[in-house]
Amino acid sequence: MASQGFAYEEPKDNGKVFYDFVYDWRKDNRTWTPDLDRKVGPGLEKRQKPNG
Amino acid sequence: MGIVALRSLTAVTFLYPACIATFDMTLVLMLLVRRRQLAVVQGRVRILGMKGVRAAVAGLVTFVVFATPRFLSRSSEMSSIVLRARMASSTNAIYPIIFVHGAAGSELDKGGTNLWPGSIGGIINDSSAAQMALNSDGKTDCCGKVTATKVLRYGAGYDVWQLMDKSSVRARVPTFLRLHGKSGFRL
Repeated sequence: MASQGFAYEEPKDNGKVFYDFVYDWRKDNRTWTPDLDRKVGPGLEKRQKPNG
Repeated sequence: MGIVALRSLTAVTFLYPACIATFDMTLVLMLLVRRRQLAVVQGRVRILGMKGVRAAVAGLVTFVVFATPRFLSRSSEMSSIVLRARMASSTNAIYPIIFVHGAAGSELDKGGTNLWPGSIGGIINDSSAAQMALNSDGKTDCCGKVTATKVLRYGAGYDVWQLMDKSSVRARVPTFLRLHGKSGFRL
């Protein structure tokens, strides 16, 4: 990922950012979907919009 | 059911991989329903499920969710070729990438002690698995708070990504996973 220009958790100047989603896999996935929402939301807000 | 499975390493080995596709599909569906994108990606979800079944053969890892409308809007193609294309298009569009692992993909710790993947000793005498058990409600830990700390990179001393890379599963593992490299993600 780094070789592709992605930074972990915080975007570089190029706007590329990569996240891990860590969750307790023993439990019902529905427990973690709100966490995933919270991960996706800010991630999309941080993204650098494509040209145009 | 969860308790029974976790108390036996054999059961963990065979039952959990068999359920990977179901778990992963559930997670994706829940996310998409919440984001009101389910209708757009029904075909894609089905394909992701097939990938999960293949990955279950190795008992490992799964797929990637690209948080990009371009990824979500295309639904007819298959396999890692498609994911490479997704990777390329995602790279150009500068959307974030979120790695959502499958069952057993996060390390689990209790009080600073790693339970999963654990040590060889813990695997042999099943002590780690016993401490990972849930109560009969299927929600609470039986033997103290267990937390997921990070995405699993190594198991029983082996780099799981490297093993995947060498196996016949390689062709079905997204390019993304191989890009993690031998030592996991590094800046």
